[in-house]
Amino acid sequence: MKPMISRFQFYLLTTNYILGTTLFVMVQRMVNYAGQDAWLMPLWAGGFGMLAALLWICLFRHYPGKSLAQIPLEAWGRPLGTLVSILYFLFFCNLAGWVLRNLSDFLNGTFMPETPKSVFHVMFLLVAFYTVGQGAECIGRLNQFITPFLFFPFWTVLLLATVNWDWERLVPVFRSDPFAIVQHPALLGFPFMETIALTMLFPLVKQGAVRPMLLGILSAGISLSMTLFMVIGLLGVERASRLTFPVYTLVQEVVIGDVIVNIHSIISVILLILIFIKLSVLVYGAFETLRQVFRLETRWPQFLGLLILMSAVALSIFENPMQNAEWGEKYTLIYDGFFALMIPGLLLATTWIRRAFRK
Amino acid sequence: MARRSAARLLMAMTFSVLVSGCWDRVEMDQLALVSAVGVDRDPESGESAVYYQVINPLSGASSMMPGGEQSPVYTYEIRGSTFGEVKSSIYRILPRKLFVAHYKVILVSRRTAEQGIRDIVNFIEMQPNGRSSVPILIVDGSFSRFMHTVTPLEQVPSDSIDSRLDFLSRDSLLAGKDNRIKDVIERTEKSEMIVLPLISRISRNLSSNSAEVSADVSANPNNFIIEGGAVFRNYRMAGRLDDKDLIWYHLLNGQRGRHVRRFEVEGNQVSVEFSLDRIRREVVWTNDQPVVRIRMDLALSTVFAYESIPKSQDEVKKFENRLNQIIADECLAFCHMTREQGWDLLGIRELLLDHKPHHPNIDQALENAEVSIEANTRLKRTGSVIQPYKGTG
Repeated sequence: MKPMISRFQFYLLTTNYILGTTLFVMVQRMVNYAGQDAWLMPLWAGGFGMLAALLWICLFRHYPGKSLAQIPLEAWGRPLGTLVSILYFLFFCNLAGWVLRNLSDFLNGTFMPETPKSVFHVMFLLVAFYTVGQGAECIGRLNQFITPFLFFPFWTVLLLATVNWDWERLVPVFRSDPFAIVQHPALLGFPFMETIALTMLFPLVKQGAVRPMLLGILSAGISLSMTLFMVIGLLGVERASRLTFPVYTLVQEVVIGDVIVNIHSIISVILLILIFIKLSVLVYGAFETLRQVFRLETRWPQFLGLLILMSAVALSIFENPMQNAEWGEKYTLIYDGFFALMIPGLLLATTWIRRAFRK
Repeated sequence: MARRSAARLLMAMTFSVLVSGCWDRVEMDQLALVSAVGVDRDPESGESAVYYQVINPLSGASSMMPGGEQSPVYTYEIRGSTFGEVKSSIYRILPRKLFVAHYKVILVSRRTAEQGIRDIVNFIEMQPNGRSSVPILIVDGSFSRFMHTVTPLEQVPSDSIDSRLDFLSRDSLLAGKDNRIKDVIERTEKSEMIVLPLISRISRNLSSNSAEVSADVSANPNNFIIEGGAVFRNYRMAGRLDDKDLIWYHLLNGQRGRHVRRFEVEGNQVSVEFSLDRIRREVVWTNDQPVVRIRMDLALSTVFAYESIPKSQDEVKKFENRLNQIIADECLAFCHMTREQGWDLLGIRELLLDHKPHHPNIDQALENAEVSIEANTRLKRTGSVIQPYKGTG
């Protein structure tokens, strides 16, 4: 594979991938867990995410030019390696289904209450397939092109919202629970451990993906922290911990004079695009895993299969938000940890052992 | 080649089926745009009456049309035991799609407020297109009559109320900015109290005929008044404040509006306008007894002081000192009055909690808390004459 994504593109991709669904799903939960100090949680989790990324980087050092789907084949041989790669394929499909479901829940819950969920799923998937079909370079460039249109409107809208700012909502600082992350570690798994999907792009990054990935995780952690800080200052802990989509609501409530009202459509579009970026990376991961493991030539049957699989996963992944939240609380860490820490850890260990024996 | 282009064209055309933006469109004239929502619950039967004031898009421009002037709003009243039931049965009387997202004000009858508004607040906050950034007002008097009233000048009642609240908070301190549903939620969930504007003096001869209202020269008989404040504790109306108390309440809660009052300074009556520049609140603990110190910086203006204006810097200082004292005394009297009622309208409990989050008995500390208020006024603005004309008598 020829490297075709620049470092900067990969950095932006990492950041946007992490922000993706997190801004929808986790904000309310984090405020619920840690009260005024919720803005510390993404910082801790981001630090942990960087450590996890170091593990993957360590593993990839031993297999230059190989992707996550190829490493198990090389490390553990064809039969076992294929099994592990298929597990990763299912993991990516599952995450993609999850992302799609978060998206359709958001759209159904805010401004398109009557559209069937599958319509969103299939439409987004079709566009994502088109992007992936154009190659990884297309994902990188698309993301680079679109990031300014996400970054500036997002922070402008949040700054406009500061008409409702109240410092008293943030005090007392460090009193409620600065280390809530220890009791509620789900954030470590989602979104930070899920960044392992990005390692599918590792061999494609020109001049190495190490620094852009670490910086991307750091930036995402800081962005999340700043967003949470603003959510608390603008909505207060009482409301932010109960509203389903706090970021959306806080922008919805912005009224400046009689001119700037109803600007929440901006935030919706930003969130949709962020989700699309995350989805594209996951679809790329699933598609490439299949292609690399089974050396497939024709693409359309794969896309058709993925369309059916992912939209089905999206519809059936959970029945209601309560189920989703409970699952997230109980199993995210184990589930993501299995794929992001355990398998790479074992791969690394076997690689080391083999090297030691060879010497 | 031609076949290929034809195939491409055909494909492009099939995609147009996916462009589904228009097939279930709703035009403006298919919507019932709600401008105000009123809620009245009968405490005995538990039945709620919900009033939707729907804007009539044909009013105003159509006065030249045959049939004469039309009402600016139509009030739909519907009853049910819960708000969900009400909403699902509204179409027994409403021919257009109910569109509540852009309503401007929510009105609640006094008896409903006394039973509690928690259900109302929750219902609004739960609706995906509900909006919690609108003011909530309590109506003291006949609710049904009030909801069937059109107001002079600003004919849509919700516009009239919204605009009056805005002016009142800017020019009189009789209303504040913290009267929206989200403020009620935020304060109450922190066990603070909140004061909401009250509509009272609903006269018997209020007219529901907009032609009559706009043809009558006297505005007062066809109007209602925003007067006093309804004190809420835990989503329940616990009492009311009169206009004088409201001013101190808003001032001590950091509202920045202006207010004009006549003070007596050295035997002279002077009308002075004051507004808040800055407020600082701090707590000092001496042997587990908290002392809450509130210090306000106020800007004074003598634009309305046609009675007399201080002549020298010395007189200005005396004038300021006297006002410092009067304002501090009146604020303190207000504070004592509310504490006697058992109300913590200044958010002192929250302030103490900020300082000592793990205090074993915060309510006892609140009771023991001593409050001192200090006002620091500065004369910053004068009118267009240096001294009022004295005449020759």
